[in-house]
Parts: sequence; C-alpha cells; structure tokens
Amino acid sequence: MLTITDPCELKAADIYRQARAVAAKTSRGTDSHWYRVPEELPWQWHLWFDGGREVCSATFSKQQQRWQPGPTLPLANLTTGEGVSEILGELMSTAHFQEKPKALGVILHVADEFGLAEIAQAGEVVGETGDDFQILRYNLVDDPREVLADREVSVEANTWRLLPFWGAATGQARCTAVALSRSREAFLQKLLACAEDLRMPVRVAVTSAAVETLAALPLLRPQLEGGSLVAVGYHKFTAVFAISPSGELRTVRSLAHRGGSQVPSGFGDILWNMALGAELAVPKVLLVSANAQTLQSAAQELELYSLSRQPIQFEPLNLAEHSVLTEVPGHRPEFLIYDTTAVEQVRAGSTPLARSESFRALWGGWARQSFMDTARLDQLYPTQRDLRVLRFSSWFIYVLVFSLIGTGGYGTWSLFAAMNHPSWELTPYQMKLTQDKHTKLLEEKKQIDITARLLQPRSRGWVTLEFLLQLFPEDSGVRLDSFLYTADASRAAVSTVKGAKPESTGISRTWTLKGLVKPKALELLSTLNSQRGLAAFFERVSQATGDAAYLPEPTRQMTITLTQGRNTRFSQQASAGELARDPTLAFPFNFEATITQVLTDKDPLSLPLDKPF
Amino acid sequence: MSSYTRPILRYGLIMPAMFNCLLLAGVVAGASKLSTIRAEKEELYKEQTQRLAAMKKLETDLAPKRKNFQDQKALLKGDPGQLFTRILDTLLPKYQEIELERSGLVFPLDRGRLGRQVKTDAARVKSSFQGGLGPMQEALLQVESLMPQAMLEELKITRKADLLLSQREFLVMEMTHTCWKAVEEKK
Repeated sequence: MLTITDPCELKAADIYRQARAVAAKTSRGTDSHWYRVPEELPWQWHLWFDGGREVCSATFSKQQQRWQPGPTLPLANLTTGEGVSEILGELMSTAHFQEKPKALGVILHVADEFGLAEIAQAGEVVGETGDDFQILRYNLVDDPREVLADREVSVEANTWRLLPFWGAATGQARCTAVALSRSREAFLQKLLACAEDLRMPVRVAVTSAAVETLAALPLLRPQLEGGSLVAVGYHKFTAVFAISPSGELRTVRSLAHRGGSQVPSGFGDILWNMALGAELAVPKVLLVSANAQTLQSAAQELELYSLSRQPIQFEPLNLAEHSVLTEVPGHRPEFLIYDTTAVEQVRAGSTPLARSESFRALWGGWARQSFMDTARLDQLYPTQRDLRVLRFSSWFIYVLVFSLIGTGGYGTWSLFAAMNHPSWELTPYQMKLTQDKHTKLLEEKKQIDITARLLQPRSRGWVTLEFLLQLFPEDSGVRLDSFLYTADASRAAVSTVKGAKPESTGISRTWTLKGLVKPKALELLSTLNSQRGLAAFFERVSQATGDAAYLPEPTRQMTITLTQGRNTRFSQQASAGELARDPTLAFPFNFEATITQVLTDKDPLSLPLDKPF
Repeated sequence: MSSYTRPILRYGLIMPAMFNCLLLAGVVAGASKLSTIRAEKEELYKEQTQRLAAMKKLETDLAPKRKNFQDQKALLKGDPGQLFTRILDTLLPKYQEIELERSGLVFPLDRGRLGRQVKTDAARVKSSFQGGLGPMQEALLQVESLMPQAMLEELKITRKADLLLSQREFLVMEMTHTCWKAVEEKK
C-alpha cells in the first residue's frame, strides 16, 4: 500500500522516490482523470442531504446526460464512513452507468447548513472587476482568518467560500463568505483512500446546495425577471437571495428554522426589510421548496403578514412537481447545473436572468465551488506534468543507459580488437633490437658499397701501357721520347643541398706524350685531335682491356692538346750508320700531346670520400 | 511548479544526465586514449614490418656479397708495401735484366695526389724499372691483379742511353701506386 507523506516534510531524494512510487503504484501517470475536477468527469455521483433522515443519491452520466438514482447511502454511513468500499464497488460496476466507469466524480451537496460570514474588506478592497473577487476567493481559501471579519473562527471545523454580490448597491457589502462545517469530509477522505487502493481516479467536491439552487433558478423559471426575492426552503434553514431588477444578485440571508418550524420566525418582516434594503419597489417573493408543506406554511405566513402588516407578493415553486426535475432523482435543482448541455441551452437563450453577470458567473464556477480543499490533498501528489517529466526521465535514463552500454560495448570491442592486433605484442625492446639489426645491416651495406667502389679498377698501370701501345702501334712512324701519366683526385665538391655531405670525389687523369713523328703518322695524330677521334680511341682501349674507366660517358670529359713542329735534327741525307747511332735524324716532325680525362663526382668510378670501415 | 518538480528534474534528468555525461566522457576519453595508443602501436608495427621487409631485402642483397667483402677486408687490412715487394720479388726473377729490371722501390710517406682528398688510409709505393714495355705491362698486370687496392697515381717513361757503355737506348719507367688500406675500428 502506498503511504504518502507531505513532500514539505521530505528531503529532495525522498520526494523523488515518492514520485516514482506514485508513478509506479498508481495510475496517475497515465490517467488524466486524476487531475480533473469532479464535474468534468464523465461519471458522477451526487449526494444531497438536508439534515433529514435520508440522503439523496444520484448518478449522472455526462456523455448520455442521464440521471439515475444512485446507491442508497444511510445517513449514519455519511457520518461514520462505513461501507464506503462496497458503495464504491457498486458505483464502479455497470449498475448505475451504462458502461463501467473509469473514474468517478463525487459531489456532496450540503443542504443542512448555510452559514454566512462577513468579509473584513468587503466594502473596501474589493473593486469592480472579477479579478478582485478571484484574488479574494483564493485568499479566503488559503487563509480565511485574514479575510473574514471574525478572526476567531476555527479553520479546523469550518470552511468558507466567497459569494460575490454582483448587483450590490454602493455602500453595501459586495460579497459574503458562505460557511460550511467540515464534518462530512471524513466520509470523502475514506472514499478517496479506498479509491486510491483500487487505483481508481475518484475526485470529490463539497458544495453549498443553496447557492447551487440559486444558479439553477433560470433553468427552473426561464422567464423569471429580476426585482424579487428568492426564498429557498430547506429542512433546517431558508436561504433568501435578493435579485435586483437587472437580474443581479444583490444580497443573501440565511434564516434558520427554530422549534421544528418549516418557516423562519419573523419571515415576513425579514423579507420586507430585505426588499427595502435591496431597493425593490414592490416586494415579490418566489418561494422554492420540494416540500409542499413547507411551501404552504410559508405562503400562510406571508398571507397573514400581507393582511396584518405590509403587502408582499409571493409565488410558490414546488420542485417536486416541476417538469424540468422529473427525471432528476429527488427532484433536486442543485444537480441541474452539472448538466452542462441544459445550462448552455439557457445561457444561449435570452432569458432575463441568463443575461445577467451574476448567473453567468455562477454557472462559470462560483456556484460549484468546492468547500473541501482538495488542492491541499493534490499537493501531496506529483502533478500530471511532474509525472510526465518523470516518465520522460525514465525514457531518458533508458536512452542514457543504452548509450552508455553502447559506448562501453564499443570501447570493449575496440580494446579487444586492439589487443588482438599483432602490434599490441610489439615491445619497445623488440623495436630496438630490430632497429639495431637494421642499422647494422645498413652499416654493413655501406661498408660493402664503399669497399666495392674503392676497389673498382679506375687507374691501372698495365692498361696505361696498353693505352700507349694502342695509340702508337709498332712501325707507326712515331718515336716517343717521354710519357707521363698522372691521376689526381679532384677537390670534393660543395653540396648544393644544405646538410648533405658529398659522398665521392671525381678524378682527373692526364696523359702527356712527347716525341718525333714521320709524315705517315701525322694522320694518326690528326685523327686523335678531335672529340670524336679521341672518344673512339678511348673506346677501343676499353674494349681491348675491359677497363670501364676508358669508356666515354656523359659524366666524363675528355680534352686533347696537340702541338706539332719540325724536327731540327732531321736529315734527309743521313746514312744508315748515322741513323743507327741517332734515330732522331729520320723523323721530320716533333709533337707534344696532352690528353685529359675528367671523371666527375657523379661518375660510377668516382672515388668514395668515406672510409670503408 | 509543485514540490515534486525540482527533485524530479534534479534526480530524474539533471543527475542522470550529469552522471552519464561523466561516464560518457570517461569512456570517450578512454576510447580516445586507446585509439591513440592503438594508432601509435599500429604505426610502430607498420614501421617494424617495413623495417623487417627492408632488412629481408637488404639481407638478400648482402648475403652473396659477404664472402667477397671478407676477402676485400682482408686485402685492405694487409700491408700493401710488403705485398707489393713480395709480388715483385716473386715476379722479377723470371725476366732477364735487359727485359725488365727493378731499379728502385721506395715508400713515400705523404698522401699523394689521390689520397689527400679522401679519408681512407693509403700507403704509397714508388717503384722504378728499366726495360721494355711488354715485360713491364706483364708485370704490372700481375701486380695489379693481385692487388686491386693499388691505384696507379703516376707513370713516367723516359728514354735513356748509357753512351759511355755504348748501350742501346732503354726505357726508364717510374711509377707510383696508391694502395688503399683500412683497419676496422673498434667500437
């Protein structure tokens, strides 16, 4: 069973827990009937009692606009609250409604009392507008002692609701407070507790029967004009309403019945004085009651008063015989204003009273004011909006949890995938080992490359001698006096790229030849004295020796300088003996040739600068 | 706003959202960190794989060269002067004096024309011969075949005749070889 504690006494976390419990254990979160006023609910149970022996019980199906007698409720049970669950069970069946009710509006029409209390600021604060009455109305509910003239009242025993006098004359009270005792609330509290257990939305209200009857007057007498007094007789009191000629409520009085009388004592005087106070030219009184005897007694009293004192016009209205109330259980006019269709019909018609502000306001809610402060009870529970937010929060939490699980799952999967990748096992030590091995291999490669390059045949003696033999074969007509071959390493080139070190250097080779030559060999020298001839000769040497250093390449440059002259020692008439002693006499020309070959640092045979190891 | 509104908003929306945001932030931060670690590891793994592939290729390339390299190392470690002398000593007795005769053998200490521009150590051998070109070429072919580290730096050939001894002209051949050498540095 759900135990509700006033949220004002709870901490925030407990309030939240209580809200969740309400959402889980009641249907408040899903059933909007919990948050409607009783008269708005489609299924209504009306209870009326006037302090007599019986309680009038009626059910009203709003959708079908049908009144039916309700379950019998003994007067004692209304006081003790016994048998509430059985009655509720009966009401929730199809015994009183065509279909099974999903909610129930319970309205207790109190007709055994009609107290009036003076409002402290009734003539001062309250202005002309309806808003002023609304403010005063809520103040009266919240703090009656601040609003009532009598500040010694018991708020535990009684409850008050405002009744404005829309037609009050200047200088007169513009409103009054209708008072009812709270003795019947216990029954309704039990009803609510029982409904709460059944998870059934039951909404309750306690209303003043006299005010409701006043509101129902245009329905009972559509052609009734203003400028009259309306005396509604009940078992214990008579409520007299003064209606101005314009149809506005001017004042009200509650007249208690004393000594078992059906009519208040001094009834005629009171009515005469009220008529005077209400500034009615001719006192006209409408006597309203469902009891024929009461009407007869009142009529006799007024006839006697008219004959002996002042003339009063009166007209009885027997509710028991009224056609409008034929189908209403107990012929109660109080129930009529809950039939919104009937009220709307009268409102739409242009009857004198229906046009007045007073009756429009009474139908608008003033007549149906609940004397039971259910708002305080409602405050114990979360509002419909709170429960919507709570429901949204539940979905929100599901989404959050789902997203969390999703993200967590993705994270776990990512971790699993990462851990199963071979890279996860790779350690810095392994990396370092591999790196060291790689560095070693690169170093070894470098050593091998430099060594291989260093030992490449790029300047060899036997090839140089072959160069000579290829240049001047035997009997070529050339006598070589001297030959000089030099190989020089070039100065290392400065790299154009910043930070890059040159890896090799070029080589410059020079062949210098001096000698004597016969005419037949001059052609040989002149052939050599050209790039093409020189290149062809170098290629021939390369082919003969297999030495790649002699191959003409784009990275190699070759030049030749050839000087020829006459041999001053030449003697054409020299004898064989002289030639044997001095062979130079046989050569008419001398020559000097310098051949240069430059291998650049880009050449495959360039000299590596670094040490091999 | 009822008494329930604030607690419901606080405990039903704000706190779960904050808690979830914290957890999400933690998970996202963790996932991000993991992703970074994973990316780093995979990058290292890629680097390692590429390095291993490069090493494999390098190894394939170097393996057949190693034997030759060891021989070359041994060659470069030897004393070129001694080797040059030994080869000549073995070679020259085959020739008559008129064919080829060693007239001098010195070991200059300076780095010479080739050695001065490179860092590699070198020893120079300057040898002088008298005789004909043919025997000289033959001798040089043998020396330079056995000593690939020897590089001819200079060769000078001149004619000479000893008129006093009424000898025929003969060739004087002076040559300088730069012989590369290298000693493995101790690390």
